Amino acid sequence: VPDAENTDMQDIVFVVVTVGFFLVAMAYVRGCDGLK
Amino acid sequence: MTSNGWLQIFVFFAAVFLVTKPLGVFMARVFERKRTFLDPLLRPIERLIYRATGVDEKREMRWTEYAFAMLCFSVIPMLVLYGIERMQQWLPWNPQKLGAVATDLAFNTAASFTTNTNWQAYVPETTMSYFTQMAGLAYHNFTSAAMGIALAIAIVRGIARREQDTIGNFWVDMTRSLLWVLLPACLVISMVFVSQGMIQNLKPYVTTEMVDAQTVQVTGADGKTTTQLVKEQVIPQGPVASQEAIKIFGTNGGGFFNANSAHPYENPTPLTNFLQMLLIFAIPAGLTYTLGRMTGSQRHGWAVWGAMAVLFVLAAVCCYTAEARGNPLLNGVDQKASAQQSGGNMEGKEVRFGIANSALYATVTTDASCGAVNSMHDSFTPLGGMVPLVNIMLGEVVFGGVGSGLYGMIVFVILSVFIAGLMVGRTPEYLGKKIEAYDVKMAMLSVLIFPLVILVFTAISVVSAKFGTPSISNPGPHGLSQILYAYTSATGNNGSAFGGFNGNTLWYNTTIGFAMLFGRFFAVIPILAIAGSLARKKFVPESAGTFPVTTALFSSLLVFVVLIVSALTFFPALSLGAILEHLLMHAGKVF
Repeated sequence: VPDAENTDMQDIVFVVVTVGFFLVAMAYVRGCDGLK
Repeated sequence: MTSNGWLQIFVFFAAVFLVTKPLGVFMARVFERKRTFLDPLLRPIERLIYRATGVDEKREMRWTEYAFAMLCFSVIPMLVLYGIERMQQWLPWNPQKLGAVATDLAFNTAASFTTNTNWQAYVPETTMSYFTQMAGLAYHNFTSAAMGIALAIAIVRGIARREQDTIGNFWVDMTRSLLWVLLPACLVISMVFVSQGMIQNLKPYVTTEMVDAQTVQVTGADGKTTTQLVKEQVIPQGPVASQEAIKIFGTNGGGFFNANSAHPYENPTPLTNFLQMLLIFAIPAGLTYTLGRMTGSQRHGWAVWGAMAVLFVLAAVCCYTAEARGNPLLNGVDQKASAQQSGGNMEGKEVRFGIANSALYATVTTDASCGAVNSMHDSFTPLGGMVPLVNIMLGEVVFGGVGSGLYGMIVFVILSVFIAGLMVGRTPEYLGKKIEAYDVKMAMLSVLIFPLVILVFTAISVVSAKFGTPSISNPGPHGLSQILYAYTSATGNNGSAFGGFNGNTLWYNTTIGFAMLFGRFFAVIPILAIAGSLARKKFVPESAGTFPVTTALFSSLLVFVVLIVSALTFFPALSLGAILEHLLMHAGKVF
C-alpha cells in the first residue's frame, strides 16, 4: 500500500505530465500540418 | 554451429514465407471491406459496436483527425491503466494480495503498454495482480497492436489513393483490426498453447516442497548476512495462455513471468517456441503483401518483403555464428556442439532451446518490436548481443512490429526513392506519386526522433554517477551497452533488455517512460502526415526515368539505406560499447 504522504502529489504529477505530453503531441500534429 | 541449427533457421524462414500471402490477402480484404469467411459471425457484432459508439463507418477522416483520434484513444486508457496499477490492492483477482504499484513504475508501465513496448521494470509475478494483467495490460496489448495495424493501413491507403483528402476512419480501422485479425487468432492461439501445457487459471500461487533443499545467504534489513535452508518453493500461477497469445501475435512481448518465454509455463515445448517466433513475424510479413495488394503493385510488396528478408538473414547468421563460437577466454572448456551439449555460449540460455533457437528468437524479437525473450540478451557474446541492439536501431523495420514495421519501412522507402531521384536528377516518384519536399521533411522528422531520444538520454545517464551508472551491473563498455540498449529498446517500442540493468528507479522509470511515448507518437505523427500528403497527390504515370520500386535493385538500395542511416547514427555509440567489448574480450579482458 503506498505511502499516503508523498504519493498523492506524485500521482498528480504523473497524470499532469501524461496529459501534457499528449497535448504537446496534438500541437505537433498541428505543426506538421502547418508545414505544408 | 550445427546443420540441425541451420536447418531450423531455414524451416522458420520458409514458414514466414508461407504465411505471408494468406495473411496478407486476408488483411487486404478486411480493410478493403470485402467479404471474408468471418463476416457472418463478426459483421453483426461490428455493426452493433458502431451503433453503440455512434461511429459512422462510412465517414472518412483527414490525417489530422485520424491522428487526434489516435492520441485521444491512447491518453485516456493510459490514465486508466495508471489508475488500475495504483489501486490494484482494492480490485478483484488479487489472490496474492499484491500492493499498489509505485507511482514512477506505474507511469512507466502505463506508457510501456500504451505504446506496444511492454518494457517491464518489475517482476510481474510479484508486482501485478491478475486483474491488472488481464484488464489493464492485456487490454493495451490488443489495442496498441490494433493501432499499429490501423496506422499501417492508413499510410497504405494514402499511397493507393489519388486526389483525396482522407485516409480512412480510425475507429473503423481499429474495430476491424481487433475483431477480424487479433481476437479470433488469439482465441485459437491460446487454445493451441494450452494444448502444449501452458497454464490458464486464476488460482493462488502454489507452494511446494523442493526436491533438493537449497542453502542460501540472505541479507537482512540490518545489513547482516545469514545462512538459511530453503525447503519450499512458490510456483506462480495465472491466466498465462490468453496473455501469451496476444503478447506474441501483437508483437507486445511483455511476459506474464519475469523470465518471459524462457519460463516453462510461458514457452513449454519446442513447438510453442517455433510458433511464437512465427507468430511474431506473421502479421508484419503479411502486411507487406497487403501493401502490394492495396496499392495494385504486388511486386512492390514482395520487393519490400525481400529487403526485410535479407536484413533478417544477415542478423540471424551473425547472431547464431557469434553465440555458437562461445567465449574464447574459457580455456580448456569444451564448447563444441555434440550429442551431449549445445556447445557455444550457453550462459543465460535455456538448455531446452540451445544456441540456434535462442539466437533465432533474439533476432526475431528485435527485428520485430516484440521484445519477448527466451534467453537473456545480456549474457550474449559482445557481437551476439550487438545483433538485437542493432536490429532495434534499424528502426525495427525487418518485418517489424505489427503495423509499425511496415510504416517504418515505408519511411525508408521514401528516403530510398528520394536518394535514387537525386542520383539521376529527377523528381522522385513512388508508385505514381511525386515525392516532394514536404514528404521528405516528414520522413526525416520521423527518422530523427529515434536517435535524438536514445542518444540524449543515454548520454545524460552515462555521465551521472548519482542516478545513471548505479543501475548498471557491469562496468566498462558492457555497462554503456546496458544503458544504450535500455533507451534503444524503449524508444523503438521493443521492450527487451540487457537484464543486468536495473531500470526500476525514478530517473529511469520516468525517462524511459518518455522515451517510449516519444518513440511511438512523435515518429508516427509525421508518417500520418505523409499518408495525408500522398493521398492528395495526382497520379503520375510511370515513365522511362521512373526508378522502379519492384526490382531487386530497389530492394538492395532499400537495404543499404536502412543500414547506412542506422550505421552513421549509432556507430560511434556501438564502437564504444559492444565493438570495444568484443575487441577487449579477444585481448583477454571481460566485463
